[in-house]
Amino acid sequence: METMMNYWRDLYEAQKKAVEEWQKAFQSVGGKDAQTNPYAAYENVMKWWQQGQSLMNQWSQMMGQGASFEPWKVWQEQMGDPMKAWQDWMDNDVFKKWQEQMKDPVQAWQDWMKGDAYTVWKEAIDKYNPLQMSKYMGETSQEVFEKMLHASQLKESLNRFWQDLNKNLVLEPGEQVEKLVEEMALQYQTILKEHFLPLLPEQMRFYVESPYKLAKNTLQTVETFVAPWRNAYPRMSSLMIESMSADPAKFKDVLKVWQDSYDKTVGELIKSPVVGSNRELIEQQNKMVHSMIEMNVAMAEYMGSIGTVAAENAREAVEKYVKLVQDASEPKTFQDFYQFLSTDVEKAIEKYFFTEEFSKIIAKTTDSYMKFKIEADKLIERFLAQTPIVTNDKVDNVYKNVQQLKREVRALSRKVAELEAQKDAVEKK
Amino acid sequence: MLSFFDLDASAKEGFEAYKKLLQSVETMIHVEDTGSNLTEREVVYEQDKLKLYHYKPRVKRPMKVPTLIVYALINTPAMMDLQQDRSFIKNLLDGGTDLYLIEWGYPTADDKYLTLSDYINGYIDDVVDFILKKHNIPQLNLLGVCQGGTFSVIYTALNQNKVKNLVTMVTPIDFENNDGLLFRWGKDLDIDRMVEAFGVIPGDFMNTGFLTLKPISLMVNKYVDLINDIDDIDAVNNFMRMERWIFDSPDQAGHAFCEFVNSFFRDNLLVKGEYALDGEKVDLKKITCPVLNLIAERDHQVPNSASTPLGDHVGSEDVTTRIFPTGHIGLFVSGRSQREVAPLAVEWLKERSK
Repeated sequence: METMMNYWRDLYEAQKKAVEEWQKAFQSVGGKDAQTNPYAAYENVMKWWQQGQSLMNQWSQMMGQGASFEPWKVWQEQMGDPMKAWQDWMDNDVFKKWQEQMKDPVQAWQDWMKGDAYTVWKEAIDKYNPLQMSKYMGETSQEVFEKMLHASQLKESLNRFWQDLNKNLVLEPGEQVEKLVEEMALQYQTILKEHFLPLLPEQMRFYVESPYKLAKNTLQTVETFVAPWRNAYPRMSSLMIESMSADPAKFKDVLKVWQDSYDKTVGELIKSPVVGSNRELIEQQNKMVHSMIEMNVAMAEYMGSIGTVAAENAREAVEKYVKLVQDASEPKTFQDFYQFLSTDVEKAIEKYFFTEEFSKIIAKTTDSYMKFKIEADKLIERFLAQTPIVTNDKVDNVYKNVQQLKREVRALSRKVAELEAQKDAVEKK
Repeated sequence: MLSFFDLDASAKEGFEAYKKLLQSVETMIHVEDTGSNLTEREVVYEQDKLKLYHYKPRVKRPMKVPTLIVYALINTPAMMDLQQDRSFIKNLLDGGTDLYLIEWGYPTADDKYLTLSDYINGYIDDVVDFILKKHNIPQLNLLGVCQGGTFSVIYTALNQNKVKNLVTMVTPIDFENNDGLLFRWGKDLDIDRMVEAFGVIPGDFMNTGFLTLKPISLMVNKYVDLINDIDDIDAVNNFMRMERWIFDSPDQAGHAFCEFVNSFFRDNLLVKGEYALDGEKVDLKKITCPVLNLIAERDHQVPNSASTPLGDHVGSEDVTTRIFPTGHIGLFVSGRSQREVAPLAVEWLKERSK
């Protein structure tokens, strides 16, 4: 344990030095000194470069003797020479933020006090973090590595949960177990919400991410094209995001804002005799908004149903673990605990997925997304109708006819082949 | 109450896991995901997006009756030739088969109106005729995989005169069960609306469905296990090849997809004897050739209860059903597949291809 602590302490020291060198290099290269003494600037960049190497080597040392991992080598390969690396660094956001802060020293000090300096420091040091190197990987490798990181984060959260659970089980007397189960189940449920559910949107983007993005994009389009909604849009948009992430009940508020906006703007407009040919466009827009709200309610129900199962499972899992501890047969290492828990969660989810209730929910969610996409596409096509852009409704018949023609050609080709075969047979006779 | 968990062992475990994660950075920068589809082959026929490959025989005297592999429309057949030491195709060739393979390609918006008839009575029949003509023979062997197996069964029922032997692998036939999630959910989903919305169903949509079948295993544990295996570069390369294959999902031609889900997942028409293609009833009793039905015991995509009944519905008197203790993909890439599944298929075909 002591060796590990030493590794972390050394790593921290190396990080600190790297940032110090970075600041010195910044002052000499970006500041007044650069005008008077270019060589000093170069020396400082080299010091920063070497400190980077030292920091990377610190990471390597953590890997132990004989480890093949050499992040510095990889970093060096990607960065080329020190001055280029420095230039790249100067071009990135960290530098820009730093520069912004330096424009107003008083403001910079206030920002520092508010913690923005920490963000700058963290972003700067992240440049040295080998785990940030996924951008140097190939496309598939990058995706896989990021999934590995997410999976690790989930596992790490469960590790902390497990340690808390064990600590509390040691401290609490027997009669407090019920209370403890409640508390720990709540903590576990939070982990599932914060670390497991975020994995779902990325993977299950057709159920969560895509409809959301589509809804957002469409609203933006509508906002651009149709002025009457402009005032209501920001409120609707923020309510929608709130309800997506936390409170499904907010959808009612979205509906309310929508209804108010409709009555005050489009409703009045549609009644007006001057609307004329725009009436259909506005009606289509209304259909799209209706379908969007229905879709988001369905999605909230979908996410909520999984959350409910997670909550129920959290309590059961903690109870099971307490029972195992009471029987002195609990998993002895985190790895065993993780195995116990992940198997348990998956069983619970799988059991729920097989229910008729969930089958109906996923069907309803999917269907609401499809309805929304259909209405949104129709609206966009109406917007594009007056432009030279060929829309799907115009080209769809072409697809259909071409396919039918292919079938006819195939049938005719077969007839020709049959006739040729008959002809050959006759000639042979 | 006391807990006796091992603090030192756990701390060490955590530290080792972190080291592995660090190490994975370099491994992932240098990892290779190439190496699939390396068995020597050439395109011998093309139609629209379809390509027919002929593999170079690997024995002096291959079987006289060639075998045509009909893969599913979902994913690509690269899985059957994933890497040289785990290639189902290479094993079949080493056993003496003369192999052809259909690659369906990647449908685009203009393929929305392709139907099951276009695939089965159109593409497959054209390819079969091409091979028969090329070899100047009356019949060939059909080997269908998953959905491609269902296509092969339908084709054989309609064209028994052109098929000498039928091999099906992880093939759904009886959809009246709730053992698989896809079978469960397929009954409630409104596929017509999906096709109306998308035209061509995105491959990512299909992937989402498959990942959902085992969310923790497929979205979390799989990657945690990879971190644990990061020292083993071969294992990492294998993982990457498989990962690349999994997410290489062609879109689905809308109308064909809709027909498949509604006719089979929802209405189970095939085993009811009510399915018709281009007006012609598909009677499974008309399949009289030898049938080899290969099933994976731990298949969570096509449950055994969907594959096993094939023998009960065909008219053939020579039906062999074998269940292997592996998964849907394991039937093709596992060590057991190399040792047992491919050799069994080869021997079975050899005996019946004289």
